[in-house]
Amino acid sequence: MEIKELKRENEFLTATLSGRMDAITATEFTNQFEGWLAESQKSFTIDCSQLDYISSAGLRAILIIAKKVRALDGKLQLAALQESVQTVFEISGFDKIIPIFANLDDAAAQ
Amino acid sequence: MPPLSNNRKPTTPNLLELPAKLENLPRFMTFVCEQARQFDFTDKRTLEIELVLEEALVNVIEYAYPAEQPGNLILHLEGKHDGKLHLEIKDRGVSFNPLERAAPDLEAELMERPIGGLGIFLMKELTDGITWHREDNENCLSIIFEPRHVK
Repeated sequence: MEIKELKRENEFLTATLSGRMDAITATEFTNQFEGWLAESQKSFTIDCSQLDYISSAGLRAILIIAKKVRALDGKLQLAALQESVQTVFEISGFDKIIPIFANLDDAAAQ
Repeated sequence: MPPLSNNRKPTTPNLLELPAKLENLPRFMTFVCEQARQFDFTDKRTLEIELVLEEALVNVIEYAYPAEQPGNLILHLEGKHDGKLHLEIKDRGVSFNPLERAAPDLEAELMERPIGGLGIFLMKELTDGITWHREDNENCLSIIFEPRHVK
């Protein structure tokens, strides 16, 4: 899994997430986002177009960060989920608690 | 060469035993997914198998053995010729039935959503049969996947 910062614009940091987010890699996500939160960055858009797989360990990591972001009055939103990843979000009901957009443009326009 | 079909016997080896360590997770996952492909399972179904499998394996890796007493995880694929994938996940660690864990409230709002419990929900939701029993000091989790999951 790889996390890369794409840009910071209008209070949002946009990052791309690629590869597999599983029990082995989920802590990389948590560590990276906790680092950004420590820099007082509070709102995030995550481009998931290159994310091939997410397991419950990955969902847990997203939930941990989403709660921290909410507690700081920030926003965490996802964009461009692959069909398989979208399915996991739907099965687990995460599509109801995390805003998901079709693409980065839609996310920026919200 | 015979055509691939649901009745094709999985090729050996059908058993993989390795130390119950997170670093071995990819080897267990690859082992099962390669077999699933031989069964002509769809990509979607293979993904669902991956989700369930990761959860079941991580449970063993994290909870079965105390740090000072590491042990093995045994993954067994049964070739039953019924077009279904039959898996057994065994360990010789402390008695632990993952199926007794409560599933989370999927309707809960973000801040009320518990951090854990999702994995067990996925395990029950995406399998076509999942049972646990303790036998000869082993935990044994048996899982059945049909090629198309209907629920």
